[in-house]
Amino acid sequence: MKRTEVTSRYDKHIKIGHIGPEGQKAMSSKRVVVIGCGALGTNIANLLARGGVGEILLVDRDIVELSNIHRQVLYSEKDIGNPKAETAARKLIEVNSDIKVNYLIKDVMSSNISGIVEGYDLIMDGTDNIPVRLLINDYSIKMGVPWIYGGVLGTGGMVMIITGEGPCLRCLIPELPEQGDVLTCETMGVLNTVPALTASVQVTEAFKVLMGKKPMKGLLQFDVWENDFSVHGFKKDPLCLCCGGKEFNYLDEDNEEQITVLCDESVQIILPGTSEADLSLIASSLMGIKNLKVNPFRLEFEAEGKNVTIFRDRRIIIRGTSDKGVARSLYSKYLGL
Amino acid sequence: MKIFLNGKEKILSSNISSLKDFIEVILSNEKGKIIELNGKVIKKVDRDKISLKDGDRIELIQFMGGG
Repeated sequence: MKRTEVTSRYDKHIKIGHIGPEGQKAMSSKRVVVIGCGALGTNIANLLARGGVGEILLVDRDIVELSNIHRQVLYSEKDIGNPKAETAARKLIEVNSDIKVNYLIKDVMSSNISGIVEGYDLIMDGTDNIPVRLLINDYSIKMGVPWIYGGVLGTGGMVMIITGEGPCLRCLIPELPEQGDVLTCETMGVLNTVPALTASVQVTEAFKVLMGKKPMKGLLQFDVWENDFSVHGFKKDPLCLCCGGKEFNYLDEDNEEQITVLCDESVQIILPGTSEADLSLIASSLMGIKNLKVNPFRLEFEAEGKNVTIFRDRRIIIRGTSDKGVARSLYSKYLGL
Repeated sequence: MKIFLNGKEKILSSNISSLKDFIEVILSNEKGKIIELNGKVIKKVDRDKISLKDGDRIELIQFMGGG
């Protein structure tokens, strides 16, 4: 489709007073990176692309699985086994040929975040774990690039817009939770309307940021099943190490977990930190998971055809794959870290 | 003791005098919960050290990490 048809493409947006032709034009010159192309990420990318954001980069390390399709809107059955980022980009190019859509099949880490995100105007959170969000948060505050956190669980969702001055995610989560202290969609489930709604709020706020308008303040929390919506008037913590103290320890590569492929083709992850893993706490977060076994020395479970063993000394061995990305992804999904 | 829990008035029984007691007695599950006391997020390591007083405002936020 030719650019002469741009006006008719965005006609309904332009008619909204909050946007108008100037707002629509502003969005067409902006670049947004979407980290994570799961339920939030696909809904976010879909709305950004249809909304006419000029350039979108999709970043995800995973492949499409059957269990994704009930909520991850850019994938269909024929995409199973294909990389999410590439598949999503291909769909969006068909949706809007006026914009640029790029993709990266990568895990975002402290060692590569600058190279991936540099030059983008806004970071959208489509991730599924806390460490990568704290990494994005550090980058965002350090470099003054806004990011929009979104999270889902069961029938609930959350959104917060983080700009350079704070408050930031570390005002809310001052320390990384221990293994077993996070609830995940793998064990709690997620209603498919929740990521759609959460992403819709994230993208509405993204449009405001990209047009130079003031976004929502505070932390939006909702439970769509209970019809309970509220904005928590969340304030900056003056003692926050990140937005207050400008200490960006999640950007430090020494604080990142070590992942290695062992001789027997299994993958070992060693988490940073010194405290011992609380195996009974981890077991309580994995209730209902197949073949969960725990003894004083190790915890073991099976997921997606792989065996996961967690040791008290912060080592995790994942058998059934020699792919570091697959192993890291599996661990994130089940432990939320 | 009278406190405000997520904006609503709540009378605590006499066996609750600290944040630790509150967590043990009132919260069925602490997992993934952010606890804010009088506008300040309380780190997990500090939760055992804090006494509660009349009029305290506690906000419980269930962190949502899925995506």
